[in-house]
Amino acid sequence: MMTSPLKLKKNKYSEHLIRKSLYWLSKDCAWKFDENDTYWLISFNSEVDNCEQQLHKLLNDNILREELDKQTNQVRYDIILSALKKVQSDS
Amino acid sequence: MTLEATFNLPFLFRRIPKTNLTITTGYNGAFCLLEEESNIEDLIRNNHERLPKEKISELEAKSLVSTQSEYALKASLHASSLATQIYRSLAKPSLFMIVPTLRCDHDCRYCQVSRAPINAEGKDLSAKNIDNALNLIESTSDEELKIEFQGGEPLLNFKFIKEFISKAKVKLKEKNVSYVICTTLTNLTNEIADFIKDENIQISASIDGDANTHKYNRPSKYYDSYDLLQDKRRLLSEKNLDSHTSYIATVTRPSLGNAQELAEFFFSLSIDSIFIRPLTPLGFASSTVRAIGYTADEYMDFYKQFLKEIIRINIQGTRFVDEMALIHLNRIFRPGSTQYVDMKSPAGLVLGGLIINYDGKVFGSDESRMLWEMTHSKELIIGDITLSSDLDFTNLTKTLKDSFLFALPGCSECAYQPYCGADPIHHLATQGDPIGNKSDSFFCNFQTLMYDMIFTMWHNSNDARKVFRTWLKL
Repeated sequence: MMTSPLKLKKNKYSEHLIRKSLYWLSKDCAWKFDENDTYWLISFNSEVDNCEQQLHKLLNDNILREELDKQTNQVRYDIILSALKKVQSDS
Repeated sequence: MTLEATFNLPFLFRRIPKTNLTITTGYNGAFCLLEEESNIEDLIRNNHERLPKEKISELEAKSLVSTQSEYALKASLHASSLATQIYRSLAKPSLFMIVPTLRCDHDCRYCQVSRAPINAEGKDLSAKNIDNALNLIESTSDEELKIEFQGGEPLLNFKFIKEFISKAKVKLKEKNVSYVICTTLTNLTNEIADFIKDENIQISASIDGDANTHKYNRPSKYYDSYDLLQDKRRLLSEKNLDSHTSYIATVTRPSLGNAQELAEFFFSLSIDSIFIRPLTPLGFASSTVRAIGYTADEYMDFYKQFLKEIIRINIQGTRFVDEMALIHLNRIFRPGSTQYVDMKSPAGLVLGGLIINYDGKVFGSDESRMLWEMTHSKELIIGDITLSSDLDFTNLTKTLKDSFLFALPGCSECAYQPYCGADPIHHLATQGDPIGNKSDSFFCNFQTLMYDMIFTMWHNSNDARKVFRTWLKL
């Protein structure tokens, strides 16, 4: 028995963000992922009562990770490039 | 404390469950624990003025945030750390495991694919393969290496070990080689003990607990495995070999409720350390899993109590090291000091060690060998010293490419990435593919819970921090 679907706006949440969050949902929370034109639709098995709450916490943290990624994307690229150059020049 | 505004450098974070703590870690391996739930949002949203001043100072000192004027310099420090990590992970293998025989005189409950009956034929590595084994080791190893004899019970083929070391002393004379025999001790004799002393060999002996626990986990149809083990421990003492011996314990389900008693038992043996580990979940029938297995959560509930007791013993004045905790502490505080093959990225498969099986087949790790015993999947074999000393990495390259943590789903955003490793063979064996679903992985759950526990204890317990510092010699 599944719950009525949680609706998350497509213009606010990327599919990647939602799938990444569902990945870490506890094993007790069986889920079904669907969509319509405007929303991502996520239903859970009704026996576990805090699945939606768990998903919102995971979504919140993954949104923070995306924000940090945007801020540091260039410097991460520079760090990795510089590290590889060091490895190359020393080998 | 700087008056300049600060900006974020790249970092990873994780909220530690059942606490208010959030761990942040950088490419440089530095970490900072945030104490309030809202801290991480303020940090990432650049509301740094809302964080306690001392926390921003700590983040700045650890190069997780920076002023504009120092930003490029700190990014360059991250790059240097990353380059060092890449170097370390691509080092030549330093651990060579050799299985002189698959025969064993024990019937351990958790060992179903690594033993053969004591009188079985065709289960010994023939001494005529020693030259090829040494050629392989010489050509693939760095200057410093460890050769570990495993089993079966390696002392059942002591003749091989003796001849191997005699030839290795000539062939590997330019290298710094240490030797370890992983044994139940039950076949130890005066002659073997003298050889161990003369050749400065280390012993890694198995002891799973008191008499009942040990005999439940490690029964033998030939003798009382616990009584004989204690006799052999006395022989080691008589030969002044206590300092050559370390002890390893594997935990099964019946021990989960006896954490304190188990810690006290190991301490009562007058040994300086114990390496206690969960089961390797490979090769069990489902009935065996029900009897002796557990989830990572169940194991960690046990282990937390065990470690607390070990810390209590240390606080009372006796140094007694939990080696599993120390491996994780070293990964955090002394990167590069441990080459533990399970904690490497890319995986320690081949790059950490190689194993030569009793039949001459060469594998990239002990788990690969076990998986081969279960599946006979030829892709796992990288060489055969009965034919030559050459290795072929073609198949393992595919597995290794899926073991760089920064590119793995479930690992790429994990705060413990700087300290953890990939174990593709574990995931291949338990989930059918080398990447695996980390949310349902014993390996991932275990490592995550270990680091959660260590960081929480480091933050919350003065006693634990004091003991950890002593073990780390900080």
